[in-house]
Amino acid sequence: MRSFINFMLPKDEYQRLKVLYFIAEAAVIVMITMTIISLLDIFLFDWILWLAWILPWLMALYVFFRYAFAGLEYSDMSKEQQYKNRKRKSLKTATATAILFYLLSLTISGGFTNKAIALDKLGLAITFFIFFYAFDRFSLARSYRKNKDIYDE
Amino acid sequence: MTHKMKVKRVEKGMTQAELAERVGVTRQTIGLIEKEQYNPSLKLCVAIAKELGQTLDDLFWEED
Repeated sequence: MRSFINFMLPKDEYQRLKVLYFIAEAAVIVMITMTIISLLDIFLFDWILWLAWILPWLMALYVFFRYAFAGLEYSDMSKEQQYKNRKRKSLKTATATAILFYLLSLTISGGFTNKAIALDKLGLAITFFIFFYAFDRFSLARSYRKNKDIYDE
Repeated sequence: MTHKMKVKRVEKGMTQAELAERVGVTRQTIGLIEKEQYNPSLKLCVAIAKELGQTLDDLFWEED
């Protein structure tokens, strides 16, 4: 089927169908949330409409989390050794990404010359690392558990 | 019950990964079809049948 979102979808038909479901679910959640925010804005608080800016992020995060929780991310992994290797790789990737994140945030905020900013950004980078690593490990575990049951060798 | 597709694949000496690569899907998708946890599209059924040298009936038709 021709669609402008085709470039965002996986090539594999099972994953493609799953992702389409996740996007559809996210769209319904966003629609309901937007309706509630609009009603609250009209009848109760006239300052609440600004919250609508988080909705695109909510939608993207929902699809992202559902994709990982469905065990789709590491579709080729089923052996214990592969799982262990990926866990090690996950730690390295998370560390490298967090360091890059820290250096980038230091460059943008001028933290190289200001100790207080550097410490502040270090806290942010550590938080980023924890979330990134935890999320990747969770996705890895879900994929492993799913694949272990369906792979025959 | 073992899915007929898995039986034919094993008879042909093909792994899930090999079949997956030949029909352009992930190994996970092949595994899910064999475990009857995913209903493939007709296009994919035809591709699998061609790769395994079988008809659609041989692979996917359920006997009473």
